[in-house]
This record gives sequence, structure tokens and C-alpha cells, in this order.
Amino acid sequence: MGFVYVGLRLRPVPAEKPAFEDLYRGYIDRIYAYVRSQLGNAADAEDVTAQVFMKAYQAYGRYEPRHQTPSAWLFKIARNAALDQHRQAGRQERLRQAAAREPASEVAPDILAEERLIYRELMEAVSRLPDRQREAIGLRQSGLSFLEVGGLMSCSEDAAKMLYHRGLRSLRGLLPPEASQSPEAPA
Amino acid sequence: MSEPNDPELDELEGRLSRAFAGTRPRRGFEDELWARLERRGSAGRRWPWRRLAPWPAAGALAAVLVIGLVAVLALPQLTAGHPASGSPKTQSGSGVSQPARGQAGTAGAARPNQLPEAAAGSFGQLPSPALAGDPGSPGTATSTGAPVPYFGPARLTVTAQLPATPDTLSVYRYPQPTAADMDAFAARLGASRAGVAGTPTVYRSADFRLDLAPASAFVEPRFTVSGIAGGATGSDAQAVADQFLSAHGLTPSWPAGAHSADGPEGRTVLYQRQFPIAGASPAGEVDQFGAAAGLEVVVAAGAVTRVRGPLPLSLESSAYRSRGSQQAARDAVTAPPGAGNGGSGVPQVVLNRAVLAYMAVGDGDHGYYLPVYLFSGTFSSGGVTMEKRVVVPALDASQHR
Repeated sequence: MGFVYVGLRLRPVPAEKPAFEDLYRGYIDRIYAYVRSQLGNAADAEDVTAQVFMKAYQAYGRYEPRHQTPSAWLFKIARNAALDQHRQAGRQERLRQAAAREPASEVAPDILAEERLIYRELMEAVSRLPDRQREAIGLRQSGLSFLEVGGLMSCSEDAAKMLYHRGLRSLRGLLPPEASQSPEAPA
Repeated sequence: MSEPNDPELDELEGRLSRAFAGTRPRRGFEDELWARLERRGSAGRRWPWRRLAPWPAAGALAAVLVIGLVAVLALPQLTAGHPASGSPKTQSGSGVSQPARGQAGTAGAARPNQLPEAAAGSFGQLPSPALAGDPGSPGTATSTGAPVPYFGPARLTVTAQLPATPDTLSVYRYPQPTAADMDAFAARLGASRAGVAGTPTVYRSADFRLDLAPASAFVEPRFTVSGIAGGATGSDAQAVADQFLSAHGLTPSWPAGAHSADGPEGRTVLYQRQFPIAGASPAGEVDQFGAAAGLEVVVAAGAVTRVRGPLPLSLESSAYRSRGSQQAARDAVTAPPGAGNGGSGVPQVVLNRAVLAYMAVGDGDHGYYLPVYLFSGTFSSGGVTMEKRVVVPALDASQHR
């Protein structure tokens, strides 16, 4: 067992590297959900999730678990991949293309079957948040601590909290009244 | 974690948490991506022809015409069979050599593992085998410097000599394994679900973890043994693999050809499944990316670290009429995704190799091992050698849905 500095705190982390497949299978759902929240459509989310794990697979030989938790390491790659995607396509253009490509009535059945409608609506709303708020919401909701979110976003823990709360308020404003107030639809 | 005294934000945060926890990729994506990773992934970058604008209608028409013209011009160059071995060449009128179609009517003799033979074509019309590579994106590089598989659009010509093929070829069918089948397989390996929460396809024994995956569109039901403690050790990877498989009752019951190569996780020993072809060499199994498939054993630091292979399946076989080589070559030239928008970024590739192979194809309650022609040819892009792969069903078109 080793230790890693997270901010000013020492956090124990396993010194042994897990098998990459264990890491992959343990994190793929969380990484996909994070990317999905950042990009707003399932097709791009699959594409970028694949890129994340390709990059992780290539870099795994250099990954040192004593210096970084697997979660922080993978989400750093995922965040960069999502940002690259935004930069490449241009966010507004990408959203326009997504809307044209993935109208609610024409989503592939297998994707629809996997995503409850209410989740999809929320994730797409998150993807429309201002960049920093969107990242804070996505990383925090992916299970990272505010300390880790701040570390990835190059800001303090308090600043990460502030971005997150602003994001929640902005999100409330983006959701239609009936969606933001009604109880969750059954599966 | 929302601000105090704001129940609405608390409720919204709770829904967000459930949304993140409940958002999953589509079924099959995890295994498809893992298969790509296993083929070794360097493919984080995008390729120029991936982001091309949609075709204008006139451009599309022009591209189709170009493809057709290329196909017509290429046909006289198509060759088939093995002239050196004296295989008869016919159809000089079309300029296409016909391979020896020997052993006509003998497909019933092609019985791997003494399988019961059903009546010819008794499975009805079959699903169509196809490569599952992401159209328009590259495949993944291998760690050994081998060409990078490419599944995007290309302008194709065929010069490959097609292998001699009987008039009929065997199709193998299996029922999808039930939960009870999976439990029984796990029990045979000494693994159980005891103490395993969550995913119902994960089993554990004292010495390893066992994952069982049901079939998907292009992958047969498979098992993966990982997290292995103990077991055989040694410096000869294949000997270590053989010993491990034997000790755990996992030695393939089907004909296989073994070969090994270095990979990022160690040395991988692949036991490629072989299907007998009447009067010809056996055809190896290929996966949805056109790569050799079967049972894989990864050996690192002298010990087995992972085993992945098909679940034992109950196969039955039936003979189906095969597709002529001339038609197969024509179909290879026009196989999707075609030549894309016909722009300058689309590579021109000569498919100069063709082999007969088998692919697993899932179809509801059953899955099949179907014969295919796997064409391939290399080209260079940005200093990287890439390999275009095309799969064409080896059965007559009327046999497929």
C-alpha cells in the first residue's frame, strides 16, 4: 500500500496495478455516463469513450498507481477527450448536428432501450450548461470528490463546489417546468 | 451537496445522481470496445475521411459510377484458383478465372467433431456476416508493427486468387446458452456466484474470476478467466498455456492451430479455431474485425494472466450452396462502406489476398458459424501501413436474408 497526495492530504492507494481489464470493466459505465453528460448524444459519447480507453490502454504502462488514483487518472483522460471533442467540432455546431442526427423519435432502439427518457433529458440538459459548470457537474456526479474535481479543473476545492452549485441552479433553469418539478417517471 | 434549505435543488441533485448511475452504453458496446482494445489500440486519432461532409447527391452518383467503372475494369484482372497447381480455368469470356470447385456434393463429409449433419440448407435463410469495424474509422494497431486494420471507405480492385471452394459449404448452428448452461460451465471450473454481487455473469473461484458473456451480433458466447492466482509457470508461453488449459479442462475440443505473438499485456497464445473444408485446407475462424479468433491465453512473467474463448457450444451443421468466386470478387469490390464521397482522401487499395474463413454471427436464439471470403490488401497513409479488410459471404446470396 502506498500513499498519494490529493491536495494537502495523504490518501492511501493500492500500490499494485490492477489488470487493465478490471479497470476497464469497473469504469466503463462511469466514463460513458460522464462523457454522455458532456457531449449530449449517445453516438458521440460512444466515440469518445472508445478514445478514452484507447488512450488509457496505450498509457497504462506509464500509469503509476502510487501517484494517482485510477479514478483521477481515467477521468483526466476523459475530461481531455471531451474537451478535445468540443474544440474540434465547435460546441454549437455539434449540438446542432446532434439534434439533427438524433431526434427523439429516431434514436436507435437499442440506445433508447438502454437509456430511460428522463435520464436522457437530464444528460442533454447538463451538456448545455456553461463549460466549467458542465464539467463540475459531470465530474462530481461521476463520483469524484470536490478536491479531485478541483484538481482536474485546476481550481480549489471551494471553487469546484461553487461551480457545481451554480451548475445545479443553471440546470434547473434549463429544464422545462414539468420536468424539473414532477417526480421521476417509472422505468 | 446542494445549498442548504433548497429542497428543489436537493431533489434535482438526487435525480442527477440517479441519471448518472443509470446511464449506460448500449448493450454490447462494452464487449465490442474491449475486443478492439485487445486488438491493440492506438486509434485515438481520427482519420481525415471520417469527418467528410455528407455526399451531395451528384457526388454520390458520380462515386457510384466510378465504383462501377472500377469494378468493370478490374474484373478482367481478377484471377482465381491456383494456376500453378493446374486448377482448371474457365469462363475466359468474362476474363475471370474460376477456381477448382472440386468435391461437388461432398460437403456432407465435412463434419468437424463428428457433428450430426442436418438436411442441406435446413436452417433456412441465414443472417449475413459482415465486419463490425466502425465504418469510416481505423481499426487498431497491433503492438508488433503489423498493418493497422482499416474499415473505412476505399476504392477497391481485386487481384487475389480465391481459394478453391466446394459447391456446398457447411454452416454450423448453436443455441444460445441459458443461464443454467453458464452456471454449469462455471461449476465445472470450480467457480460460483457465491459472494458475487451485481452482474449475474461474474463468477469467482478461489483462484480466478470468471466472466461469461452471452452472444452479441458478431461474437459467440465467450468466457474470460482473469485475476488468476497460481497456476503453471515457465518460459515457454505455449507450454504454460497448454498446461493451464489442460489443468482446468479448457483445452479446445475443436481443431485448432496455435500461434503466439507479443502484446501489451504479455505474450498471447491464440488457438485459432479451424473448420474443415472438403477437399481443401481448413478455414480458420475470424472475428468481427477480420482477425484470427479462437481461444486466447495471455502469458506474462511466465504465468497465465488471462484466458478468453468461446463457451462450449452444441453445434449442428447443414450444407449450403456456395457462392462462385467470380461473384465473390465482384461483391468484394462493391462491399460497404464503398468509396465514401470519392474524394482525394479515399485510399485506393488492391485486395491481393483472399482466404476462406468462418465468422460467428448471432441471430436471436441461435448463433451461426458462417463461411466467408476474407479479402485484404495494404496501403500506406501518412507513413502508416494499413490493411483494408473486406468480408463477403461464401454462401450463395440466395442463402442469406
